Amino acid sequence: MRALTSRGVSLVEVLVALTLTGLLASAAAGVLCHTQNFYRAATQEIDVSQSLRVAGAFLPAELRELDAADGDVVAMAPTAVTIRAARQLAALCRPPWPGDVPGSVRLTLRTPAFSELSDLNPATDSLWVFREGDPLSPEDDDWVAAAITALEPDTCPDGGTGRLVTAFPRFATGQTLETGQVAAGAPVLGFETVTYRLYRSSADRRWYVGMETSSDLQPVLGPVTDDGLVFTYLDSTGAPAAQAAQVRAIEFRVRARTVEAIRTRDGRLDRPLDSLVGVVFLRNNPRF
Amino acid sequence: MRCVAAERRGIALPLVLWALVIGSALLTVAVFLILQEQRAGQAGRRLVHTFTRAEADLAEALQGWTPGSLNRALPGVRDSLGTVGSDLTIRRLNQGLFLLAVSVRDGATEARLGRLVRVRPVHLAATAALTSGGQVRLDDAATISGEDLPPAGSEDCPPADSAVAGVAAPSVLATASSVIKGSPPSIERPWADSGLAFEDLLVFHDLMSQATLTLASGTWQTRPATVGTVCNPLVPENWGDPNAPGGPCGAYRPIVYVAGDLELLSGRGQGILLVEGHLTVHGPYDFAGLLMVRGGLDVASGDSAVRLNGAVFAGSLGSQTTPPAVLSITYSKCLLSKALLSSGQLVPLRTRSWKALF
Repeated sequence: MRALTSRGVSLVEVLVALTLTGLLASAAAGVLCHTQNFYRAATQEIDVSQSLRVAGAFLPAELRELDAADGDVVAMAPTAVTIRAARQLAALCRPPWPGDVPGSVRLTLRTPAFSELSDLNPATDSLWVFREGDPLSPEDDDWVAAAITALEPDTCPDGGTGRLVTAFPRFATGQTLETGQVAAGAPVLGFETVTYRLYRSSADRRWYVGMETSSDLQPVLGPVTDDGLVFTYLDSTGAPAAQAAQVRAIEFRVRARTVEAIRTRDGRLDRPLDSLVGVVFLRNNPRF
Repeated sequence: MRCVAAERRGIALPLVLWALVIGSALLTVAVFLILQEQRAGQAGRRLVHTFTRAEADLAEALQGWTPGSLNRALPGVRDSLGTVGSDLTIRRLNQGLFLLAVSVRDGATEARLGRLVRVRPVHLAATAALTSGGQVRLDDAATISGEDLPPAGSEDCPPADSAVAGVAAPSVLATASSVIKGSPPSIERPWADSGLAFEDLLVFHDLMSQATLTLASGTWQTRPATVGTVCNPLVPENWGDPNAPGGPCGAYRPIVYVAGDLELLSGRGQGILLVEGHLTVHGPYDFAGLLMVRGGLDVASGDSAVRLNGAVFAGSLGSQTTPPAVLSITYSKCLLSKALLSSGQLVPLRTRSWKALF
């Protein structure tokens, strides 16, 4: 009875069904493939945008605070810049006094510091100590660089907590550190010498913008192209600066490409390129 | 027919459902990516907005403040004035140095910037411990010294100056026992009809325009005033405390202008005192800083000393003869500098004044 009520399928029906199924499967596969391509392309392009955003936020933050006239631009090259990057701001709670080792001075910094990106590290950080000289004359104010040799806890004269820093001043020409030239309350800046440069990772053979310290090189952004970081150093007239001390603004150009090839709208496989150009005016060059 | 239709299992519904799932997934991915980009873009915009506003606020932060008004607002050493307006904090580092900090927030994004500023004080050339445009008359117990004397125990004074003259005046009448020291002890200068020499008069008017306390003529007895352990600059008799540099009023150095004659009874004060008329000081009295009197300066101390440390400019000076006034005027570059640091204008440090705060 069942055989009589069940209808079979003819060859034509099978063929039609197979054709329709094939068409649907092809369409579905196409949609899936297109979705995957779209997702890959979007994430790749977002990664590139993100790298450029990092460049736009990070590099100006580091470069803005420089005083090129006072030696903060240590070395300048088209694809690398070595700077004294500010890390801490604190104040002395008593005037400096001579250390045990000839040529050294001791400084008591009030803690906590006003601002601290990282803890003072004698291995990597140095100091700028504000030297007021004649308190009635702003014109003779300057900063004395000092290399840190030791750090230990201390107490300020008013009983507050402090940190005793033993340091060796590195006087510029004509600078001295005499009694009364640096007063209690004088600001002290901690800085670290770092290099921002283009480098090729040995791991994936791609180019990155890295931050190099005395002990470390770590990627800051990337991957970028092999010409993905270019600095131009400008003087006060906007012309290229001949010497580091003349730099008043730094133009940076970052070029990044997607890591993987993505299909463009015209169907080609390509690694699209995006770039960012910014000009950072140095805020701390001498004002008068 | 119903039987046959019920037994057939079509694939339309699964296909539609599958297509809906795929479509939803596609849409979700697209929406997710768009939202991510939008968030990143908004974060970038907020970053720029907060930074720009903070930098603009920092540039405007100096407006409305003078060294005198800051000195009144922050009378103690290392005082902190926070938060002025919506986003400004001012911290006193020492007598003439301040840190302005601005914090601007937009959603989860915050920009904190700081600026180190200092005082560019009014310029005053003190060539003597006592500079007078008229006659100076000194009794036995008067001592005037142009040798730079930093205050005892002070660690924050500039290197001592070479000595200035003791007295610069057109005429000095001194008894044999009075002491005038300096390099040279005295120098002669022309008579000044208006009491002070022209250049000193300009300084007088400049400082007068910056006065933080304007008092009527009369008799005043000055001494430090506190609220608990905090200096109270609202009390007009509070002219700071020269005897306790680390105390609550140790860094408070007002610019006091008296429109007429002034008689000071025993007490103490520091800063800048400008007297339009005549000044009479009764001992014991200690004043540290700059004293400028357009009229005459008389000292009537009796057995108690009147000590004026810093620099004195007066139309004339006379110390009481019976009983002899115990008068001491001593040049101190340090005290004069500290007093002048309540005047002038606030300027960013010449270099490295701009600071991103973390």
